[in-house]
Amino acid sequence: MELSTTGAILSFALGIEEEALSFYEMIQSSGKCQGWGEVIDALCEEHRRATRKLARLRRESVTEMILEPIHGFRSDDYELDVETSSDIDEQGYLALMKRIEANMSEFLKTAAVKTMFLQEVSLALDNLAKRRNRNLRSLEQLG
Amino acid sequence: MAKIPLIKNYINGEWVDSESKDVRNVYNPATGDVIAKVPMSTVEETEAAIEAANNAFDRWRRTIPITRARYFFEMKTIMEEKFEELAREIVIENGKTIDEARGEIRRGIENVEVAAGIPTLMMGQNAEDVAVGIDEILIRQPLGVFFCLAPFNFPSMVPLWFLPTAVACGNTYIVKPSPQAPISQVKLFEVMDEVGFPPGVVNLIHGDVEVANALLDSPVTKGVSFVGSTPIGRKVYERAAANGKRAQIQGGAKNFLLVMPDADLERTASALMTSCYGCAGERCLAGAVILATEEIHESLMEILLQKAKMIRVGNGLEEGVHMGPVISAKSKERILECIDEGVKDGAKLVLDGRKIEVEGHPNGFFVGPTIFDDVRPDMAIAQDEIFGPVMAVVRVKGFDEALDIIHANPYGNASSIFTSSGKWAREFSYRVQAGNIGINLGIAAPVAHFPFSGMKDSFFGDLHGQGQDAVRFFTESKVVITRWF
Repeated sequence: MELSTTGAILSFALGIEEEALSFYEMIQSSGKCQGWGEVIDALCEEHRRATRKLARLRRESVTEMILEPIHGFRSDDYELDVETSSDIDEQGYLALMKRIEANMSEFLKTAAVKTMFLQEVSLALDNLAKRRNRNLRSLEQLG
Repeated sequence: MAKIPLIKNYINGEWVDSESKDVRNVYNPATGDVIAKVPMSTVEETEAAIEAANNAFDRWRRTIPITRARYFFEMKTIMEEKFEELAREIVIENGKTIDEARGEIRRGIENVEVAAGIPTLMMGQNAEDVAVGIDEILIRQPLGVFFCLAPFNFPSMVPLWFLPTAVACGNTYIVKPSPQAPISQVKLFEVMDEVGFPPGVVNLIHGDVEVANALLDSPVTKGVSFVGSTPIGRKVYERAAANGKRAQIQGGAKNFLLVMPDADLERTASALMTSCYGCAGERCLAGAVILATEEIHESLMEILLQKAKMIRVGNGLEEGVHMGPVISAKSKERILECIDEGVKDGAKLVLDGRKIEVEGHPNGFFVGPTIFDDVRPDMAIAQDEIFGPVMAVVRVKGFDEALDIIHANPYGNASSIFTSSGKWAREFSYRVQAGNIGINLGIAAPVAHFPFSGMKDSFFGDLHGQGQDAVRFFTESKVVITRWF
């Protein structure tokens, strides 16, 4: 799907945040990555906060009714693939988590550039991108 | 096939069926489907709403302002919770895009937030020793029952320009929505029902001229807020005045946007897109005529055309759609006639939105972005309100000629200048005869704590909606002069 409005970008961001959160909550409750319990807890909290932030941004920042078509930004390039098989091990989960954080960081960074005409939205997305990047670095330290 | 719901009135804290046999269809403009039926309520039902509001008044006005304000804090909370649902309902009955609907709800909430500040907003004035040993105070008191006659283009937001302030001031209220888009108000009244306003404080009655006239002729109602066309607005104003009521009447518009040679053309063109095509041009603040100075005319046209061609028209519920349909088949037909007339008058149609087709929506009321160049100021497309996505570009020699053109038009709702010169910007806001002025802005929409202005044939009355004007409109200024022996 072409993400050609601010609302479309924020709705997609919200969707992948929720998807990522469900994934981390699934790992949290499965007990499969107990060695990284704290990291997973922190990621869940982080994504919960981001979900709230994005929902609020969509409610409060689309006030100027700006008709500024956005081009060259498609959701297909950033869809999360969190399908897992039952025999996936700790390292498999880690690889998936890194992919999620890297993908989201890339998406949010691009989204921040595409929404420059709405400064508050752009700044918030850029901030979220930085946090995803920080998550990625933390995950890389695990292996 | 799902049964089409018949919309109810909300009177005295209850949802009630109208007994009227006169029922109209409400359409989804994107699909052409009938989504609801709305009753044209009877005079008796209107009188019942007035009576309920009047009975509720005395107790409500004695409710202390901070308590009244708390109802609006609660209303804001529920509106935030139901934000997406409220926005989607607007799209379904009005056709605008989901982002535009989100913006509309946000603007509505801002009015609720301002009303929650009523304990300070309605404070009076005092002066000691106006004469020896004599003090004088001014207090603001609510008057009674107010009502609004609302339009289809901002079916949720416009009543919120008035109702929160009126009710927070201690008045009681009746909303009559547009029969073309009544559902958004039903949703808002569901919110108010959940808030738990005392019965009769807020009331909703559906209908058309009969209901409006009953409200206007009632000896009980104290004032009317109207947003709609100038011819109807003028009638409402006259009738309200004849019945001794307060009135704030926002009529039609033909908004002119002047682009000076020193304007940032890229950013100006973006603002012009928003102005002319946002909400499919169905805004009283929409840009209609671009006054392009000769020096930049050609370059501006190039960018405008390029940007307008990129606008994706479709069902507003789809994220990513830039422009939705217009409100009705009749409205579409009227807009197409205006375009035909422009062609007949000799304007150059450089982008034709008449034959647009939207995939999967063969029955939607769509009109594509349309641009006319070489428009003369005396042509109908430069004179009359079209209320659709039609941009007319008039070439002007300079500032003074532009101002003459603007002033020759009977409307005075909004006008903008695009320039990098502070001198021209000041001169424009100083001289131009319009109520809402934009400097490098395409839509000069006042925020909730400022009055929504307008002049000439775009506004009848003296106190506008929103801001301190609204507090004054909804209250009586009483002066008490005191001497103690």
